[in-house]
Amino acid sequence: MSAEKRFEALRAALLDAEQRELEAIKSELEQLRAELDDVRPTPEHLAPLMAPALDLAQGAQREEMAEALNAVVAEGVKKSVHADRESFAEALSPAIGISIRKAIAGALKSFNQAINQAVEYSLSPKGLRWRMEAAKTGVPFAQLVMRNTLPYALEEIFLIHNETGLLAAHATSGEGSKVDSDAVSAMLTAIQDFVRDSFSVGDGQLEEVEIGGRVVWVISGPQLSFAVVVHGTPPITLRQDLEQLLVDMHAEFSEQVAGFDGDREPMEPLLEKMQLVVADSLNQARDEASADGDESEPKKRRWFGLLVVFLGACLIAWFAWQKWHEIQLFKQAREKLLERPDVVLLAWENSGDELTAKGMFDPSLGRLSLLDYLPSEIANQAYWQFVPYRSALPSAKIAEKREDWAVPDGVELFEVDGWFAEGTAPLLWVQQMRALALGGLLAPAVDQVKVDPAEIQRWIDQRMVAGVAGSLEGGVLVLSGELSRADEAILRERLQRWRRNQLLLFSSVSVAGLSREVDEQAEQLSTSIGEQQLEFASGMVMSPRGWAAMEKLADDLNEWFRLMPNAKNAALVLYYQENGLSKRRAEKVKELLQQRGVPESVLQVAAREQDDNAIEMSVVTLKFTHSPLGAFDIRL
Amino acid sequence: MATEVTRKLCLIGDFGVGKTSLVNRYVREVFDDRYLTTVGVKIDTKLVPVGDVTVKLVIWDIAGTEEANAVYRSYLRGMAGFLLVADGTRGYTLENALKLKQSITEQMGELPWVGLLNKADLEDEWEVSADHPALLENPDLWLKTSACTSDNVQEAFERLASSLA
Repeated sequence: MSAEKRFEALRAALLDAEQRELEAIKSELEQLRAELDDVRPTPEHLAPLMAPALDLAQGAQREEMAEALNAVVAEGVKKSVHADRESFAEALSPAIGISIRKAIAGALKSFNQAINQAVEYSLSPKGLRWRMEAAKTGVPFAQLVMRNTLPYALEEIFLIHNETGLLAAHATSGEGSKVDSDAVSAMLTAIQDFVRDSFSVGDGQLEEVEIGGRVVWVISGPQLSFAVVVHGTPPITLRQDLEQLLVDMHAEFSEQVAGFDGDREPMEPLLEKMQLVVADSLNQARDEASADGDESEPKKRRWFGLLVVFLGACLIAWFAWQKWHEIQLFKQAREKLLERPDVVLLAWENSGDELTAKGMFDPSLGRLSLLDYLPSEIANQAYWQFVPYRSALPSAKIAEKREDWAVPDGVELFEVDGWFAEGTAPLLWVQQMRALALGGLLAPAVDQVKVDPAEIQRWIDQRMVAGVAGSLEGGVLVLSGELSRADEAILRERLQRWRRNQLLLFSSVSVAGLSREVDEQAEQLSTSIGEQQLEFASGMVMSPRGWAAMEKLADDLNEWFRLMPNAKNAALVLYYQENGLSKRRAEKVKELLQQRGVPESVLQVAAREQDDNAIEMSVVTLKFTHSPLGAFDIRL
Repeated sequence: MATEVTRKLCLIGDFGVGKTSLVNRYVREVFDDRYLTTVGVKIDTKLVPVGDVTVKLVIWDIAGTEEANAVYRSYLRGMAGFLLVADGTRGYTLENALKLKQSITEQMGELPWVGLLNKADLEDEWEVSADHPALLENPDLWLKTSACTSDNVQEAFERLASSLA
């Protein structure tokens, strides 16, 4: 082995390892150069560097980093949602679930409030006015209700730092609480903490506190919360506006919010925004107040509106009354029809303004006309269809007879082997029925029909002759009073007719109470005439006293016959003795009396009984006889 | 630097150690020896000038407790400092107060605080001795106070306020 070879062998033995290492370094260097020359870094290189790089950038260049990644992240989120929506929703649900629940709860609460207000105002005069306004302007009624339920007063807004409970800002309308706002802020936070921790409501929180006419809304944000004091009934949009304001403030003033440590100076911009909200609500309330306080045009409009409402109410009431009245008429007509035995009602429908009535009626029992039951203006709108039929009902027969005989309401008819009537009826109807029966026509027996005694008495009184009263007592016609001879025949004829025609039912007539005034005079005359003697002086010459007595006798007789023109069996008997002078004297008196008007028929000359010793020879004895007075000839 | 800052301050301690009396003495300058237990929390405020700055102390007088439960902790959230109050006449209240402080420190970190051994007017009856280890450990942070005589009450609040400014 040459020296050179040995040298090479030695060098290889000494430097081979280094040589290989050098070759490897060279190769690695080449590879690194190649990689450096390549302008596009491979993911394998960048992957380990991403996390530390982002971490560094977040500390030093946070805003630039956020700006740079904004579009990329947004696009990435979009694509992620597009690619796997379900997984994305699951990932976000814990975060957005709370917000959704709050939003839904808020919306439902607002909805409930809107319904309550709408119901409250829907039927009031104010509500009617708003309805008219809604119809006129096209604005939804609910919106108008909300608008008009103002004014309200947003009195204070406390901006509270959630972590410390310290007051970050306090906006007030000047009418807020007089207590220390920092204490209020802290106390509200304490109450919030107490509620949340004591009742273990987790993410829940106190949202509203009502104190008298005020309501305190607690609107929570991530770092700050609003405590809003509102007086009156705020519109439902106010809370939503404030919630949005709180979100905006967190976004716009994130640095101030994050760095709040009790120093309120950095919070001034937030306070300005809150003051704007308070001022807006104050202006709105003032506008409402000034609108309500305007005495001219709005007041006229109010009165006009009230007038329109009143007239509208009157119109509605009139239509309602008309409808009610129409229904009542239909109802009455139906009831009347149902009462009729000759009518069978098959259908009765009252739909809207139209009446439909269908049925059957018996023409033999009566007529049927819609106009008998409904006014013509309503009857014209009705559909009326009744077909004729023959009724077999007993009640129909009775109704028919009642109509035929014009049976009064107080009388019932029965048909048991003939027709009978019972009840109470006017005398005239009873007399008519008896007349029908006497005439051989069909008529009900009226023996059981009672007639008012007073009516019977009136009937008798109207038909009794002058001076005589009559009354029916137990079937006996009792007459009383003074009955002249002239009326006697008339009365007799009437009583006979009443009985014959059964106008009045009586078995006999009592005349015990009757008298004649004229008979008493006649009786006196009769007594005066009586038995007397006419004295003769001599022969056929009467003495002056006898003459005077004859003259008076003639006058008395004439008066008696005048009073008693129908007197029967009257006779003046002139008695004579068996000698011829006495008879001539008697005949002379007869002649003289005849000459003085005394009817010849009543003058009789008769011989005296022989045993009469009282007769004197110089006188003519006479005796006046007649049938007894006071007897009435009323034969029935 | 703002001229006024607001700070949340809490009074922490066992039942009946005199927290509410201390606040009443400091804020209203009144004292009532009747004991009315505090329910929940009671809030008061007090402006304290500290140099050029006015510190508005929002004082949370929290109901006494032996241990910090959830509600208690929520009341403490965000406080800038606290007054740890014990009753010198009842030694165990100091022990409880120290436990509370330890619990708070563990959860909220170190915060400015001032310890108050209250009822100094009854010092003859005290059970707490001056050589208590806790007092010896931070002698500058402990004050003997009396809401009855107002001894060191203002000093206690203002000392804490100065550390919060």
